[in-house]
Amino acid sequence: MTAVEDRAGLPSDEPAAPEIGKARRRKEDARLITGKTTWTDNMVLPGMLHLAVVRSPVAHARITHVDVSAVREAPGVIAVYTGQDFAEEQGSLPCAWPVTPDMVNPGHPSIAVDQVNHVGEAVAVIVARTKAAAQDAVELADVDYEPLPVVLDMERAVAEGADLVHDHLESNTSYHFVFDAGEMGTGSDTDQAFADADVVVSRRFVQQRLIPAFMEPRSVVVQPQGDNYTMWSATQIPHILRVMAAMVTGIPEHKLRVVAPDVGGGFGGKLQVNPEEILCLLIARRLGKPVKWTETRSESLMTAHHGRDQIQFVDVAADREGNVKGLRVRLLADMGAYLRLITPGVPALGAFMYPGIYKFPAYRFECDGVFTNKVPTDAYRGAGRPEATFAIERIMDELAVELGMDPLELRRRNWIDAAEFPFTTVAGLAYDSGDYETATQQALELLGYDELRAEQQRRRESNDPVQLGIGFSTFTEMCGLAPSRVLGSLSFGAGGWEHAAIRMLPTGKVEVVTGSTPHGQGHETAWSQLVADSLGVPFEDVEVLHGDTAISSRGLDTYGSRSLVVGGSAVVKAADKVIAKARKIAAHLLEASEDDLDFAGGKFSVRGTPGTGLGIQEIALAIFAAHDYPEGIEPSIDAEATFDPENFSFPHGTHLCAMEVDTETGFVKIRKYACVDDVGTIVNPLIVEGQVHGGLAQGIAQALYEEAVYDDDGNLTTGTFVDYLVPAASDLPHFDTGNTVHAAPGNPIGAKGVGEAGCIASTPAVVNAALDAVRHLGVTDIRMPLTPERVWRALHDGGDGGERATARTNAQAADSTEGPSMTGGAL
Amino acid sequence: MQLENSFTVPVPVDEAWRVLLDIERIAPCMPGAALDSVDGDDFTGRVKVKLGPINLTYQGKASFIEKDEAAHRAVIDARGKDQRGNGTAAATVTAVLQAEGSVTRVDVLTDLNITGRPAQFGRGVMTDVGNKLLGQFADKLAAQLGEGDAQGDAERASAAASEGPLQKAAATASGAVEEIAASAEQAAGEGTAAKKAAAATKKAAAATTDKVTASDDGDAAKAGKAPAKAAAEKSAPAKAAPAKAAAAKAAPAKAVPAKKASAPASADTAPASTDTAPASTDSAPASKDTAPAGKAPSAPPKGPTAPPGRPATGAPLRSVPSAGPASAPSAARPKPAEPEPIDLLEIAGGAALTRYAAPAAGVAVIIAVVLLVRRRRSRH
Amino acid sequence: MIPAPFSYARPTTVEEALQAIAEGGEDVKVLAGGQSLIPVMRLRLAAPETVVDLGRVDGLRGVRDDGDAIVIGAMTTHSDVLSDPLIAEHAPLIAEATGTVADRQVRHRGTFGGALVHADPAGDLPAVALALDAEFVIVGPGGRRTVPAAEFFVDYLTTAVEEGELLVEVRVPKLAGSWGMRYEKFNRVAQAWSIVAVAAVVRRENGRIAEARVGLTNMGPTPLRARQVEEALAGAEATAEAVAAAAERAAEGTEPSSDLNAQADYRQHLATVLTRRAVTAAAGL
Repeated sequence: MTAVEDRAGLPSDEPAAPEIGKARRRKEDARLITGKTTWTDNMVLPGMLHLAVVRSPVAHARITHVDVSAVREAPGVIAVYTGQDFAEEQGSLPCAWPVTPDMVNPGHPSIAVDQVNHVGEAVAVIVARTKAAAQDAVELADVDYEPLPVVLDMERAVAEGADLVHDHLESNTSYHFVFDAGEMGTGSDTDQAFADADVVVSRRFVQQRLIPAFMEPRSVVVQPQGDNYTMWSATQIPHILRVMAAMVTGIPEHKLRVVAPDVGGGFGGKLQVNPEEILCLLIARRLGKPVKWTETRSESLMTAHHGRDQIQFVDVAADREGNVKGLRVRLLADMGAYLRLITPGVPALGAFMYPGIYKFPAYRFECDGVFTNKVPTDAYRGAGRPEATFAIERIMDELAVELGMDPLELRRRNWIDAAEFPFTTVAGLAYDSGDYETATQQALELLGYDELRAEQQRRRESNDPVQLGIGFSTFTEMCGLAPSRVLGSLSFGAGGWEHAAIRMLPTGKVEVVTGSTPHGQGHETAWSQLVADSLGVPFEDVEVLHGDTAISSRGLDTYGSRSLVVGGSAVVKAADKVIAKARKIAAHLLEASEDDLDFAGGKFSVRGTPGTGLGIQEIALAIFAAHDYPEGIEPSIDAEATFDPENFSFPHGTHLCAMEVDTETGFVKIRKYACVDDVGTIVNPLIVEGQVHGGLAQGIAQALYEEAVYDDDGNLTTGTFVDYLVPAASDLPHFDTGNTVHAAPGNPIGAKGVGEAGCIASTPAVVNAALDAVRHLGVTDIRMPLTPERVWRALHDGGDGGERATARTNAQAADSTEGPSMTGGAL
Repeated sequence: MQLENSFTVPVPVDEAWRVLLDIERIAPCMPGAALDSVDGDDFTGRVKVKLGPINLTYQGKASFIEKDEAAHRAVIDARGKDQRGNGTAAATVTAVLQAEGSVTRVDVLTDLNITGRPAQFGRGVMTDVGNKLLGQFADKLAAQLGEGDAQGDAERASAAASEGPLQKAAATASGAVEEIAASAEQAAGEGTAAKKAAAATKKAAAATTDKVTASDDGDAAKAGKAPAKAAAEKSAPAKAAPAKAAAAKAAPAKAVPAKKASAPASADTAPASTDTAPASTDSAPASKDTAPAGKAPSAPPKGPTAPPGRPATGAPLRSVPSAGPASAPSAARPKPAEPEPIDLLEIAGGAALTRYAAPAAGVAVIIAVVLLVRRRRSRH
Repeated sequence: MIPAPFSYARPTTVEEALQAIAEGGEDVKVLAGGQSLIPVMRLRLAAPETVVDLGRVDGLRGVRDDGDAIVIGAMTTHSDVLSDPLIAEHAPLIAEATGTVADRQVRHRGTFGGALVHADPAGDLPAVALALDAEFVIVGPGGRRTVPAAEFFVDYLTTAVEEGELLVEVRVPKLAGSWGMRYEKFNRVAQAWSIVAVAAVVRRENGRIAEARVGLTNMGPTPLRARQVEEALAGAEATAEAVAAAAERAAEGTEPSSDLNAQADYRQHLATVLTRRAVTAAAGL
C-alpha cells in the first residue's frame, strides 16, 4: 500500500501518463524535512527585538498589581508592557462565528488588563535584544493576583448559582444553538418519534479536551516599514489573519502584508488569530522596530487553543426490528474562557453530521456553549464532525446491544443505499455520492473479519486474560468547506470560495498562485499534478506559490479538508481559462479557426492535420514577446479563477479495528486496523494515504492516549509531552488501507477531501472495539482516552473508568524520617 | 490537593491550644521554612523546596484567619510566590484539637494549591512534595505541641529580650531611609542564621556554649562568626549534631554570617556580596520595599502580597539595591540582628530531636561543611 | 525555553570534575547525559549556578571485567550498555531494562550512572540495580566509598551521593548458578516512564526456586525490593501456582503515589500482575 511510484525521470517525449492518480513523492518534502527552508523562527531581520510573555499562573483572578520595574532594569530589556499599556488600542481578538443572534461574546483582550481567566493568559510582554534576555527577565515581573473561584466543570458551570467566569455576564452560557429537523421541515417531529419508538437508548459521552500539538511551535515576526507592516506567522490562515489583524489594530488592510512561509503543521491549531500576533503588531508599531515571538512548547500546550471538550447526551429511538426512528443530541460544549476565531462554531459544524450515514426520520440537536476558566477551544482536525461521528457510531453499537443485533447488520438496515444518492438527510444536507456496502465489504476482507471473530469466540470460551474485540465505524463527513451561501446561512463571518491564478512565464514555466495555504498537506505536489494534466506541461515545470498576501492576493486558506476540493478546483478553473486564452493566440498563429483546434498533451493542433501544432509553452513565449497576436485581446494568457462550491462533498468509509484488551492490567493494544475510504477522485495516492495515516494516528490518539487534564485549580497538568501523550509510530499498528472511488459531482476534480477522514472515523472504531472485547464482562462504556487504569476500573468497578487522578486523594503521610530533599530556609 | 494528618500529643488540650497559637513556635515546623517577620497574627517567610534537580523557593506571608477557642480550631492561611516566577503556592491549614482524657488528638487538614510550572506535571511532582512537606510539618507540630507550655515558656523567657528589639527594629526599618532599613533587615537575617548555627553548635559541642551566649546577648556579628566556625569544626562528630540542623542546614550554608565566618576575612569586614549570597538579597529587598512605609500599610491579606509595614518577603527579589547590605554601616547590624525570635533548632528540638537527629543531622552538617569549604574556595 | 544563565565546566578527569564541583558555587549540577537535567533547566525549575559536564571524562565510560563482578562506568551510555558483551553475559537484565528506556535518541545521550543518580522512582535502572545487588562507587573530597544498592536510593530523586560527590562506577556481581532474569515494564506509550515495572532475578535448582530477587519500579519514592515475594519464593516449587501465590504479596508494604497515570491502588494491583509475569518468565516457566 505504500509503494512509491516516482516517474519524475521519464523521458519527456513519451506520451505522458496522466499526472492525476500518480503516487508522486512530494516535491516540497526535501526542503521541509531537511530544514532547508526558512521557518518563521529562522527569520533574522536587522535590529530585530525578541518578545517573551509573562503569563498568569492562576486560572481565575483579578490582577491587583503589576510591578515590572525590575524587568525594565534587566540587561538587554528594551521595553515591557502590561495590559494597561494596550488597554485602549488592543481591541478584542475576533470571533468570526456568532452562531446565534443572541450569542454572548465577552471579548478577548490580547493581553489581560485587570483580570485573568485561564492559566497562561498574557499579563505582560517583555521586549529585549535577545530571546534569552527576554526570557530571563520574565522572572523579574511581579504580579499580584486576587484569586477568584475557578470554574472548570461544564455541568456545574451551567447549574443554578454557579460561579461566573465573566462576572459581568449573567451566566456561563454563551449561546444556545438548536437545529430541529421538524421545525426546519427536513424531518418529522422528534418528540413524537421517541414517544412512538419501541426502544430508546440514551448515553452520555465525554469528548475529552485535546491539544492540536502541531510540530512547529507558533512564531511571529513583524517588520514595520514606515506605515507599512509585514507579518510572518506560522499560521494556517494568512489571508484571514490579514483581514482580522487589520480590523483589530486599525492598521489599514492595504498597509499590512501577511506571510505564512513554510509552516510545520496546524491541525486546526493554527486556524486562529493569536494574541501574540496582535501584540507583535502593536509593539512593532510602538517601537518602530522588527520584533519576533516564538513560543516554547510549554506555552504552546498551555495557551494555543485546544480542541473537542464536549459532553454529549445522545438518545436514539428505534423499533424492535432495528429501524432507527429518531435521534436527539444535547451538547455542552466547553468554549474555554473566551470565544476565539470559530470557537462557538465548532460544535455547530458538527450539528449536521450526527445522523451520520443513517436514514433517521427525526432529529433534534441542541448545544450550549459554556464558559470555563480554561484555554479556549477551537478548530482541531475534524472540528465538530469527529464528535458527531463518535456519538452516532457509539450509540449505534449501544442500540445493537440493546436490540441483540449484530452491529453491522443494524448499520446495514439503516444506512443510505448506493442507489439512493444524492440523498438529502434529516439534517438537510444533500449527500453527493458513495457506496457504503462496497466499502464495508472491502474493509471486512482487509481486516480478515471472519477469522478474527472466530478467534474472539475462542478467547471468550477459554476465558483468556487477553480478550479480543472488533469495532466498526461506518462514517461520512462533510468536507470541502464550503458553499459561501451555506456559511452565510450559518452566520459564519466569511465565505468558503477559493482563488487561484496561473502565470505563464516566457520560458514556458508555470507559476500557480493558490489562496489555499499549505502547512504540510503537499499542495505544491498535488497542484503541480493538476496543472500538468490541465495544461499538458511537465510536472517539474510547475511552481506553486502560496501564503504571502502580496503574492496570493485572494484566498481563504486551509482547513476543513477544503484545499483540493475548493482550492484545487480553482486551479483547474484557472487552467481552463489559460487554455481558452491561449486558444485564441494559437488559432491566430496557426492560421486556423479556434473551432478547428484540438488541445491535448499541452499542444494545440489543427484537427485533421497531424504533425502540426503549437505548444502552450511556446505560446507563452510568443505572447510575452507580443509581436504577433490577434486584435482586440490583451497580450497575456495568464488567468485567475475563484471557485465557490455549490455543495459540500461527503467522503465516507468503513473503519474496522480489532483490539486486544489485557483484562488483568487494562492494557489495550490494536491488533489490526483496516479502513476503506471513499475520498472521490484521488490525485495523489501517496498523499491520500499519508493523510489517512496521520488522521488515524490522531483519531486513535483521542481514543487511547491524548487528554488535556486540568487539576481542580485550573492548572494544566499535561503541560509537557511527558504527560500529554502523543503516540509515536512505535505505538501505532500497521494500517491496512484501501479506497473506493465515487467522484464528487460538485467539483471539476471529483475530489471529496481527505485531510480529516482518518481522524474522524477512527476514534469510535477503536472504542467500539475495546468495548466489544469486554462487553461480555459487564463493561458498557469506557471514558476516552482508554487508559489502562480506566479499562481496569471499568472491568472491576463498573462505570466508565472515571476521571483520571490528578492528585493523591488521601495523603496520610506518616513519614517520620527527615526528608533529605527538604532543605532549611535561609535567612 | 487536600492532605490530612492526625496525631495525638501527651498534653492537655488547653496547653496544646496555647502552643498552637504561638506562631513563632508553629511556623518553623514547616520543613524548609524560615520566618522573616512576625506581627501579631501575621507572619512572613519563605519555604525552600529542593527535589532532585528542582529548586523552588516560595516567599510570602501567612496569618491566622481563625482562632476558635471554644472549638479549639485554628486556621492558618499561607500564600507565596516562587522567586523565579514559577507560580504560586497557597495553603490553608486547619488544625482541630480534641481532648482525649489527658492527651490531645490533633487533626490537621491542609488544602494545598500550587500553580505555575511545578503544577504542570502529571507525574504529580508537587503532590509528592506537598505530602512530604506536610507529613514533616505534622510530625514537627506533634513534637511541638507535645512539649506543651514548658518548653515554650522556657524559650519565651530566653527570647524575651528579643521581642522588644524586633518591634523596634521593624519600626525603625519602616520609618527609616531605604539603606538603613535594608541593612537593618539584613542584619536581622544574619542574626537568625547566627542563632541557628549557634544552637546547632550548642547541641553539638558544649565547648561553644559561651559563644552561643554571646548571640543571646545580641551581638550578632560575633555570634554569626563564632558558631558557624564551631559548626565547621564539629563536622566530624556529625552524629552528635541535633535534629533540626537539617532544617537549618541551608541556613548556615547560605546565610551571610555563616559564609563570612568561614571565610578568612572576619564577619565584620566581609561584605555580603549580593551576587553570591541569595539569602542576603532575599531579605534586603524586602526591607527596601517596606521602607517607603505605608505603601500598602493596611492592605488586607489577599493574594501573595507583601504584608504591610513588614519586611516583605513577597517583594521582588531583584529590586535589591546593590548598595544595600554591602555598604550598610556595620554599626547598624548588631541591634536589630538580635531580636529575630525564631530558632528552628530550638523549636524543633525536644521530642523531634530524638526522632530526626541521627539520620538528618549528619547529612546536614556534612553538607554545611562542604558548602562552607566550597564557598571559601570560590572566594579565592 | 532557554535555561537561566549558568557557568559551565567540562572536566576531562574525575579529579578535575570534583574540583569543578567544589568550585562551582552554591548550586552545582552534574550533567551526565542531561536527559532529565536539561529539560528541568529549560523549564527553569532548576537554575544551577554551575553545570559540570562529565561528557569528556573518558575514564568513566565503558564496562570491564573485575573478577567476581562487572564494573560499569557511570558515563556509559544506554546504547553502549545495550551492545556490551559483558553485560549481555553477566547481567542481561540491565540490557533488557535499558532497552525500554525512553527512545533511541535518549539512549544515545543518557547514561547508566546519570539515570541511577537521578533516582527517578519511575526510572527503570534503579530497581534493576537493586535486584542485582549492585554496589555504587562514589568519590568525593573525602575519598572513595562503596554503597550497596539497598542504601543508595534514599528518597524521591535522592541518593547517597552527597553534594560535592560523584558516582563513578557501578559494580554488578556476577551470579553463580542457573539464573533467569526478566524486566516487565508497564507504560502507555513506548517512550514513556514506567507506571510500574518489575525486575525479577531467579535462580532455579532441582525444580525449585532456590533464590529470587524482585525489584519494583515506581512503587514508592525509591525503588523497592519485594521482600515478601522473595521470601515466599525461596525454596518454593517452580510452578505457576507457587509463583502466582507469591506474587500476590508484591505490593505489601508499598505506598506508591497517585498521579495522572495511575492511582495507588491500581499501581499495587499492577505490581502483583507484573511480578507474577516477571518471575514466571525469569524462572523459565
